[in-house]
Amino acid sequence: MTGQSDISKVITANMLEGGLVVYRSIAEGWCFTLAEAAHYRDDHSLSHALDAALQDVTNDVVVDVYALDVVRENKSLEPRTLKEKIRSAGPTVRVDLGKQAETGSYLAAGE
Amino acid sequence: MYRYDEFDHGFVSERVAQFADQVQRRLDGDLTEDQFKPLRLMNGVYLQLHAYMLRVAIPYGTLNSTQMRVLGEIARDFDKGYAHWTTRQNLQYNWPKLADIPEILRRLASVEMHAIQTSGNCIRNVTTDHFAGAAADEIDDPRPYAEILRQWSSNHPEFSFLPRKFKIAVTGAPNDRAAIQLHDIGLEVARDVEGRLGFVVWVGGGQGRTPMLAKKIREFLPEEHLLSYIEAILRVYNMYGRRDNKYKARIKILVHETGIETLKADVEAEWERIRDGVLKLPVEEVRRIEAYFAPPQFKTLPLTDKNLEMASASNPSFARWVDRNTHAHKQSGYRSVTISAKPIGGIPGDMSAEQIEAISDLGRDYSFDELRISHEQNVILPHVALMDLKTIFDALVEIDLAEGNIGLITDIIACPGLDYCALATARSIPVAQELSKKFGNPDRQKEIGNLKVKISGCINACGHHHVGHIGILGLDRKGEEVYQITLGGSGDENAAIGTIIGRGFKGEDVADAVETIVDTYIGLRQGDDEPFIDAYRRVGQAPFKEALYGTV
Repeated sequence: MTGQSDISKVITANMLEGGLVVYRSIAEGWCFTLAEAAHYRDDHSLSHALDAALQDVTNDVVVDVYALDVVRENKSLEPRTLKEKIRSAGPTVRVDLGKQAETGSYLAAGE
Repeated sequence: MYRYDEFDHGFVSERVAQFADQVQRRLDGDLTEDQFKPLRLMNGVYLQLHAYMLRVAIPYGTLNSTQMRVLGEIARDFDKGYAHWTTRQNLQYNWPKLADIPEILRRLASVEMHAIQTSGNCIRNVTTDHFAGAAADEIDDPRPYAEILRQWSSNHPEFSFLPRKFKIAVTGAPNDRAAIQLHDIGLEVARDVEGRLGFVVWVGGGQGRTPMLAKKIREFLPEEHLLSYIEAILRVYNMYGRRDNKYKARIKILVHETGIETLKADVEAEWERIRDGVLKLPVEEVRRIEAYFAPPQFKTLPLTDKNLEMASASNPSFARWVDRNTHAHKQSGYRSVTISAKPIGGIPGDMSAEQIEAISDLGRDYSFDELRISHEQNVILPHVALMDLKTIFDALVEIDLAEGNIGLITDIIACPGLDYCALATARSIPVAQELSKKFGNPDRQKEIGNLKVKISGCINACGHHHVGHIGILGLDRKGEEVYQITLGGSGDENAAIGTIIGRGFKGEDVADAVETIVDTYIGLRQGDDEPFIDAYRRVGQAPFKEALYGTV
């Protein structure tokens, strides 16, 4: 069972030009996989990071910035909702597409 | 079919140039996302879960082989090698880059296609019977009227910012294959006692979170008043439709809250004012548009074909395909062929670039260069000679599109659902695939007979679950996908909204639940030829509920 303390936040967006899903990276840029994403465990660090991320909306790098809940499972970060799991991996019905096609980390259809 | 005139070419080319400039200004930072979003939506560009999505209009579901080929080429050159036929007779690309969309639109414009008014609170693509101009039961071809409506509604300055989106469907046959009672306006081509052409007019139908069947607002509208009457309805809606709550903004809510008689009085009063003005259709103009849709040069052929009969006798798959996937044609010796985009275990409505190009060739070579898209997410070759059916079947076998399942339990409508759609609350496609595999055996499908299963991944109901004989709605219950089943819906001339049978099912239990429903139906039907929907209407929910939940 996931305890409240296991939950942290990751910032996500879509790239303006290509529309692809990205995550705020530790280096305060944008990365394509959750594995490379920065995660924030308190409101202060999240708020600071969101402010910086929103600058990239102003700078026309990304659109639709928001934070999502993730939990640490088997040493990796996993989104808590199915919607975010699918965003992070790709369509469950086309495992040859999306990020999963490159990382091999696809969701089983029944997951 | 209709060919662009100078005005159409100019209008579409200007829009492509305009949007290309807007995209560039967005990428350059001269437009903010808030400024750009309504502009991209007006051109059919959404931002979905994984990427942008471009929805291409296929006016009244009709296209030629050149257009079909270009749709395939775009899928290969700018997307990930496939595209998706929608329940609005349109096509969606799931992965285009924003920067590529102007070039995609240029390619579309080069074959007289576009993505205008495939989104936004405007009059959307007018839909119609996918057998229009071919069906044996047709009173008149609805496509000329759909084209007249397209011309009138394109960039209509008064109706570009309606309270909500607005959908019009037209059927030319009494057997309604266009689901007109589930549209904001439904038009049914009819003749009055003197034999004059016109329409029965329905208003206020729709699905979504508040499904409603349309009400009949006019028993007979003479042909020449088509535009003036529709304009009168739109004006009343534009004036009184709610803008304070998007969930109550469709005309169905106005009809429901106002009452059809009051609404009709308002519409008729407005119509009296404008009926004999500029919108009165000149007969010669209607006939001019009709000429674009003149029947092709059919050969004189016998009613039967000996080679077809022999091939059917020796090939059960072919015989099954002919039985299920071909439809009666008004011309002797011809059939309309439905190419199923529902292979067993496949993704409903998806086709690869290669499949799209191959069926383009079939349309060119065997269907007088005409193809259609159905709202049930299949592709139609409307005019095929009996002698060519086996050749087409063999070609479809080569590209894995020869499933003989039209109208059967595996011919499932499914929206993209949570695998693609930003609005979805649950996945639709895996449920469709599971059902398809469970019931994929041809003998089992034949035993069950006509049965429409429709699946939506959220209450917006793009998968038409409200009018499925068995409807399935995917919801999110505390982070889990749960599927609510409705029974008894129908989108045809006996339209009905399905009724929820009981508590929902987990995704992995849906196929078993549907099997329970199917087995219950088979157990209680009065003979093999009583279809599911008739049996359901005869016995009601009780036996199905008992079979599913053990209580009545």
